[in-house]
Amino acid sequence: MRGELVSAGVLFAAVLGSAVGVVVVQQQNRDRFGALERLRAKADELDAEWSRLRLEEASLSEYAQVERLARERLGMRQVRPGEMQVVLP
Amino acid sequence: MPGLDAVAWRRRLLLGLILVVIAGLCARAFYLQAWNRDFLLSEGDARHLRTVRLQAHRGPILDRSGEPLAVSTPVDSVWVDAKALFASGGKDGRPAPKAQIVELARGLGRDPEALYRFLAGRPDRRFVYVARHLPPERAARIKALGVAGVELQREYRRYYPSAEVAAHVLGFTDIDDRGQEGLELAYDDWLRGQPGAKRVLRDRRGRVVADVARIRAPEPGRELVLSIDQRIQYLAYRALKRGVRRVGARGGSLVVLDPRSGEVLAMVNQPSFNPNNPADRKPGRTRNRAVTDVFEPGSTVKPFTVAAALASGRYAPDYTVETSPGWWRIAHYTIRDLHDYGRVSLERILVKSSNIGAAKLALGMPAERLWSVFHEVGFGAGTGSGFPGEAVGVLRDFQDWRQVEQATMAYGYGLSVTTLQLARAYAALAADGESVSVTFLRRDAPPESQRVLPARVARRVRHMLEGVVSDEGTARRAAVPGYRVAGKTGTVHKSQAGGYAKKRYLALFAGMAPATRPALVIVVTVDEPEPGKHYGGVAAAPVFAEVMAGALRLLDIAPDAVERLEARRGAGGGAA
Repeated sequence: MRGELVSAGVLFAAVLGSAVGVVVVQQQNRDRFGALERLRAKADELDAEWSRLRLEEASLSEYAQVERLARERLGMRQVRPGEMQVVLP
Repeated sequence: MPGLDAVAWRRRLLLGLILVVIAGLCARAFYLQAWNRDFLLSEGDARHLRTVRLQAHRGPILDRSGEPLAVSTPVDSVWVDAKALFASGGKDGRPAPKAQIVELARGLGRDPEALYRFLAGRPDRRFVYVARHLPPERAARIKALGVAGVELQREYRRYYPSAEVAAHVLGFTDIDDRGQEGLELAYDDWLRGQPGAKRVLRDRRGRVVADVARIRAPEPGRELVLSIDQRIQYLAYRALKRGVRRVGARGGSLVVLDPRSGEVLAMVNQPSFNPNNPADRKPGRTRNRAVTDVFEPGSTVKPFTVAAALASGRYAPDYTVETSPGWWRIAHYTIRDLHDYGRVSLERILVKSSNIGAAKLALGMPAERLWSVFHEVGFGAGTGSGFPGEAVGVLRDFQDWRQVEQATMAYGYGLSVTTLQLARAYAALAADGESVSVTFLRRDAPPESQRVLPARVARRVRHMLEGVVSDEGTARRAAVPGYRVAGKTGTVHKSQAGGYAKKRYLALFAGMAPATRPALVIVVTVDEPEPGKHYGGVAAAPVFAEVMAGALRLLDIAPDAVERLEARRGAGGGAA
């Protein structure tokens, strides 16, 4: 009789414990998932930023642009054939 | 007074009633919790759990060195749940729907009246786009206005940093980012991303409260690395545009091909369009003429006639043909040359571009000989590029050729080709008689090649073609200082319904350099140059020279005619 009471008490405590455990784990799960989603959103944002920067770089290094700058601002020009000295191996 | 019995009876009745009520509640609870559980759970979820689509971005298109040619950037589209918007009036301290719409219209920069009419016309719709492809910051500001039922949808917009320069090769996508033209269409499956999905929890007003689970992660599209070299592409674009304008032509095409790998290093057309601006996509401009438009190649096929003659074994390299007096009648047809060239060698046929010489060579061998060389170098067949809408041209079977046709075929009338096919045919001459399939994608390993001409014949014809690019020949202006250039001009009467047009021409130049071991093949076509400037050597050859000189320099290809360069330096100093 006594033994049965004790085991019933232990089982009751275990049930209570696992119930609390479930709640805790669920809460943690939610927090983590939220954090994960925030990080994903951040990754998305960075991805967007990266493609914008890539485009910006591409439009800044556009050949028409580089050529114009080289000619107009830096006063560069192409080497004329007569000015070349060719060294062959 | 009531007896004891009555009291006990009343108590029992009351107890009985309470028990019945409790039993009823239990039964109802059992019905909801156990009997109907699945149905109710799913109905409950359906009212606040939603699956949201996660848009995946389209893969970028890169040139051969990794420079972006087409990139998708995120944008937001604004949509409205019209039913929710019209139902929200007055609730939760919101103003009337009309006032909300006015505010939304102000945020979008649209006419409030028109937007109201637009939405009022669809009061039951749960999904109506009101603005597409806004920059994310601006879309966030619109969402922050707090208008009921307004939601954002992440989408991607395609940008083409090089704009007009590579427009025809790349093509473009529609507003839903599906490929519509060019390589965007050809490799749509490869580039397109797989949208993902996630489950979210929403409140009564449809706002997302929490993300519940990710069902499927979005899978972005893959990168596509092209064979195009953006530097050469730009150079070619600029040169062709200038060249077309200089001779007052209607349009033109240019192809730069690596003869050994079959890679297209550059392909441009005039007129062009800006793929970033949908209004610019007019049918006549978006066509990739170099691949879709066929024409009669005229004199540019003469090298293949000579190659067929040499390969047939019926003509020795020092064979000569009589072309006097500059015209020749077969059947009822007269073939003419520009001048009377007298007795000419095989090389002179090419250098002076003698129609009579080419025709006589062709008639001196079986039709099958000529046909098989034309066929082997790729006329009348696909190039293997996989470009959407690629034309294959026409090369009729030799069994249907009449004698006159066999003669005109020798100088390029009676068959039709595209600019790309012509480039591929010249690539076979450049690669010592080996032909490869053409590709727009970077090839890391050399492709399988097929021998279409004996190496000896290809080299000999190439050497003859160097004479064309000399003071003697028709393409003096195709010369590139420091390099030996081989090539051939073509000036073709355009055909129209019922015959050939009087003053409408196509000017062509196809060539390669350095002639000792060609690294590049370039074909230029200029459509309807002004009469007087309509010769291949005048309209097309200078464009060829400009692109070839620049491309050889960019690719660091060693000059093979240093002695000429030295001579120039000695003679002219810096004054060249």
